[in-house]
Parts: sequence; structure tokens; C-alpha cells
Amino acid sequence: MSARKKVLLKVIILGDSGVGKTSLMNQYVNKKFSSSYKATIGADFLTKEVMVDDRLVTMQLWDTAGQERFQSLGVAFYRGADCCVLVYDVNNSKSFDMLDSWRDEFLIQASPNFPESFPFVVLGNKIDVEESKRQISQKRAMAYCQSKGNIPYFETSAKEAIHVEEAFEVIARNALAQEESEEYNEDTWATVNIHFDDPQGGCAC
Amino acid sequence: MAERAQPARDPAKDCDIVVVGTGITESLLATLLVRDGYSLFIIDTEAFYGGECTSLDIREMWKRYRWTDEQKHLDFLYRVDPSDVEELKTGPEPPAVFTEPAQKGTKAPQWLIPLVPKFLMADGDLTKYLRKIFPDREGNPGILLAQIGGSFVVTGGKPYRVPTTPSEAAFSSLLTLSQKYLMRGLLQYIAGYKEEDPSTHNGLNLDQITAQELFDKYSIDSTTASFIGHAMALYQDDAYLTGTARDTVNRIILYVRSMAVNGPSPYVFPYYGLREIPERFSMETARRGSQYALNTKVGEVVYENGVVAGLKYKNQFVSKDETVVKAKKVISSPSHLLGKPDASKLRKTGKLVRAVCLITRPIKGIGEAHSAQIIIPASQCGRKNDIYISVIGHLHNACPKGYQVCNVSTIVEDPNGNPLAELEPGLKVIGLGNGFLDKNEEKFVSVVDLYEPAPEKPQDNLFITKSYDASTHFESCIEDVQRVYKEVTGKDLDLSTLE
Repeated sequence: MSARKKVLLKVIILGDSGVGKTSLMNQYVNKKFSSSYKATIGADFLTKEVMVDDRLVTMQLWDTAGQERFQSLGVAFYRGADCCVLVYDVNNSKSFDMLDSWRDEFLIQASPNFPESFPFVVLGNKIDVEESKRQISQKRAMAYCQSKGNIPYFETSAKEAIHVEEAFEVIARNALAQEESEEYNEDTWATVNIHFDDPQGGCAC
Repeated sequence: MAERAQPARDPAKDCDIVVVGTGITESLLATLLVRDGYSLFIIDTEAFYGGECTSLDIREMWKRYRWTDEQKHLDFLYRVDPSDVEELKTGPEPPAVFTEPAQKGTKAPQWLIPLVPKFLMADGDLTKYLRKIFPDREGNPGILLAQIGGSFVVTGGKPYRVPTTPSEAAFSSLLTLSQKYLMRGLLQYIAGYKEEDPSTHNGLNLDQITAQELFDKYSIDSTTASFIGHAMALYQDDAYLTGTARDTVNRIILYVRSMAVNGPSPYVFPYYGLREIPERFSMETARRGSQYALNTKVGEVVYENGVVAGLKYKNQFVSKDETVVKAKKVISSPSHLLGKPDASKLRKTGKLVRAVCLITRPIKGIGEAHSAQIIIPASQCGRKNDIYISVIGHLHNACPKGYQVCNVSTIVEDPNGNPLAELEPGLKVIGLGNGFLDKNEEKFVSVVDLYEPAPEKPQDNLFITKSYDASTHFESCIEDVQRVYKEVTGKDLDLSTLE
């Protein structure tokens, strides 16, 4: 492995519309929660610098921007992901049933080198909602995660900031491990990269 | 087959404009319109972004070119709504050599095969839009554009590097001795030309003389003129000779400036394939609130009192049946209107033949270039239209090492002939003459009709983009974006005020 270059980790967050993907990101990065639901508007990703062991890494958290609603995410969204976070709403069984389909979609589109060992993390969100509304038990979710090769599982509340920090700590750690296992070919890019320094000195437009 | 979870049905919101198609033209339009505050719903029948302006992986290539129409139709119905299809009749899969890793435990071959032989001019308008909309930021390098390794023109059956500077012109083996100096004179004139300084105009008014007259003034003979007009100004036929010299000069300046940005050729190409462009536009447009739906059956436009009121469509995440999304305007690519009543609003402008070739042998005459644009001027092959060849390889992630992806195309001139035969001079250049194909090589041929909106099209709030033309780059596509943007908003598009 090369010298300690700046580490950039791409983390993508998938799951049905309305399960709280954006809220989880916002809670983690900005320590904020807004209960008014709106389709995701904002930057294409949020970034957060974190320490993993003694290494400073920058996490890029990519949001689906509503393109998940009709399952219309492009390959560019998935490309180069170091960790894939699958989110469902514990009060919505349909969103849990769709986890597998999101996982398959990720593996097809991102086509990681070694799909068996690619890090996923599952989050069951909205555990702050009253118990009587809950549709998916912790036991059932954990059984699912176990059956898919022991995917780490957290029950979270973006609203009450429950387990969000812990979950993203594991996400960062697993993403870093994944990033380090990837082979890089920077020479390829160096051969064909161009620099758009304006040859006329000053913008033509 | 295991029972799959049914998606939640969730209707699309009514909107200002429905955009049908996700090619570069439609995608850029959507990005510009959402910034103006319009609400949009963007749909495409395909499973991927970009229409023809895309790159496909190897399985998608087989599906597109090797499956029967019936298999493709079933696949389409399945993509629109799996519960409508009892049994999927899939077609042939690519041979293992294209899909399996060379050694066990290594990465499977990756393919990003472009469907059109177009590159971006490094100093062209599309590049400027991309750099403005996706600026380089910390950790986010915008859209990575990589240089194309060379620009060649075929003379006497052999490719030669296109000289672009006055001194290169003087050394090029492409030109006769006397013509070298005459061409150098013309390039020096163009390089020194300043609009505001009449002393640099050499007494010529570029708006009033034709390109032919400009060439005559510099004693450029027809061979050199053909080379300048086709390999530098990138005209597809000779009609430009009677157009203004201004247009020709502007095109030569674009070529030379693009060379200056980029080095060995005036072209750049997305590092992660052509599809990167429409996809990134879609992400940008979606995060500003637009709705996107691929795998959607596009129905008829709905009119009320002769103007657009909405569009019929079907998508499994919306409802079991065809529904209508209400909208004030519809922008559509021509291909999505075919077979529907609105097809009468299209005019056919020509026919293209293309061959996408996956070859394993180097191309003679392009030296060490890892990628290239090769132009065969019409006059070199007894035709009216040029033949274009684009070549990219593993450095652009188009294919695994050991392969090159070549895209040969031209305008079909004989409506009753064999279109593939018209590509023969181009196929010969890449070593595929006389139908030859080596072991593990592939050739995918398609004939494409080109359309534009009919001149007598009514003012009905349906706006139609043009098909992608035969040219080597995307500049005409930006002209089309400007036209449609103005029709839709009533405003001129201004790159300089774009935030």
C-alpha cells in the first residue's frame, strides 16, 4: 500500500423512499433533524471527517436524491462505493421486504470486485415511533442480516439521535477496510488526464 | 423464481414539463430548466440513461444487438412491470471471453461501449457546460474528461496525423511542398485574426465571402481545402464551401483552441464512459427536485384544445395501468414519438449506418495513439459524406486491455443499397475489410433514421429535439439545446450567466 495519502471514502445510502435516509445523514453530519418530509434537495453528497483508529478519513455520504422512488439510479451513483448502507423503516414491512432488492441492485450496478466480502450495513430506522406501530421485529431483521453473511445491523432513530453515531462508526471502519483492499491504477488516469488551464489566460465565456 | 417483493405504488406528481428521453440534449435541457424553477418529470423507456448517447456494458450490447425483437419486447414489458410477464424469453449471452476474468480471482472484464462515434471538443460548448455545472471541488472532481490520443485523416488509404499549427503544417507529409506553405499562411492569418483590429483582417470581410473564396485568396488547392474543411473544420460534406468564411474560420479556431487545451487531439471523452454525462445531469436535476423514471412505457401526449395537457405512461412503481401525468409542456426526443399520432410532427432528415467493433489487433498507421478520431473525407472514398471512426481503449475504461472499441459511421447515401457496404472503406482502416472478423472480435451494426421537428409543426407545447447527427462531436447538440430552450422558455440561453 502506498504512503498515507488522504483517504476519501464513498458511502452510499439506499432504501425505499421515506425511510429516513436523508434524516440519518443529516443527523450524523449536521446533528439536525427536520420532521417535515421533503424530497432530498441539497448537495450531491455530505462530507464528514472522522478518525478511524489513528487515521483521518473523509467520508462522502451520497444520497439518492429521490431517484430511488422509481428505481432510476444511474451507475455513476454506485461507482466506487466503499460501503453500502441499506435503510428500512421498522414500522413499514414493505420497506424491509425491499432490502434484498436494493442489495441486488447495488451488486449489479456497482459490480464490486468481490461481492461476497463487500461491506453492507443495515439500519432499521424510526424506532422512536410507538411500539404498537412496529412491523418488523429486531429478531427478524437480525435473522435477515445473518443470512446475508453477517451484515452489521443497527436500530436507529434519526429523530432522537439513537445509535446513529455508533452505526456510522462501523460504516466508516468497514468502508476504510474495503478501500484499502481495492487495487488502484492511478497511472491509467495520469496517462489520459487533461488539465483545463485556460490556454488564453482568462475565461472565454 | 423466488417471489420478489412488490414495490409500493406511488403516483408521480403533476408538473410543469415532462421530458421524454435522457440523451445529452434532453438531460442538459432538464438541468437548465430545473434551475429556472420548472418542475419536471423525466422518463425513458430504457433501463439506462442516455438513449443513444450512452455506453453499454457487454451484456447490454448483446441484448440490444443479438436478441430477437420478441425477446427484446418481452424484456421491455418485464422492465415496465414484471407482473405482466409470465415467462421471460431471454436471448443469447456474450461468450465467456467477454465476461469471465482471464484468471480466477481477478476482476471480470469491464466494458463501457459507446454507441455513437462522438467525442467532446476540449474547448467546445458541451465541455464548458459540464465544467460550469460540475465544477471541480474538494473530493469531487466533476466529470472526469480524458484526452483522446490523436486526430487522423485518411489519404490514399492511410491515416495521417492532422497538423494544426502553422509549423506542424510545414512538416506534415500529408501536403505537397507548396501547399504546406500556403496552408501555413492561412493558419497564421486565422491565428492572428482579431475582430476588433481591421489590420489583421487582410482586407477580407469573413461574413461576406464564402469559404471557397477564402481558400482561393490563400491559393489553397482542393486537396488541401478538403483536408482543412473536413479534418479541422469538421464539415461532413462540401456544402460549407458556399457558406460564409466566418463559419469555417470559427470552426477552425474551435479545433485549434481545443488542441491547445488538450494536446494530441482536440477531443476529450468521459473517463467513465459516455453514460456518465446523462447520469450526472440526472443526479444534478433530481437533487433540485425533479422526478426520474426509467423503464417506463411512454404513451401518447394528451391534448386539450390543441395544447399539451399531459402524457400517458406506465411504470410499475406508479400503477398497474397506464396513467396520465398532467403537464403544461412536453419535450420529447424524436424516437419516443415514433409509432404514435405525434410522429406526424417529425421530419426524416437522413439515415446513418454504424458499426460498433470490438477488435483485438492494433490499427495500422495511428502509431502509439491509445485512442483516436479518424476521418475519411468523402473525396477519398468516392462518396458525398465522410466516414468517421472513433477508437477508444482500456485507458478510457471502454474495454479490457487487449481490446479496442471502434465505432465506424457514415450517412447512408444509397437508400436501396446495402448500408454496411457504405462503411467498407472505414472497416478496411481498422482491419475489418471484406467482412473479416478475427477470433474473439465482434461487430454490431445498426441503421438509424434521423429526425427533426417538421417545419409545419403546430404551436402545441410539444417540443421535439433532433436526433444526434453524424458529426464527430456534440457541438450541434448544444445548438439544439439552445433552440429548444428558447422555444420552451422564450429566453435565450446564455452560458456566461449560468450559475
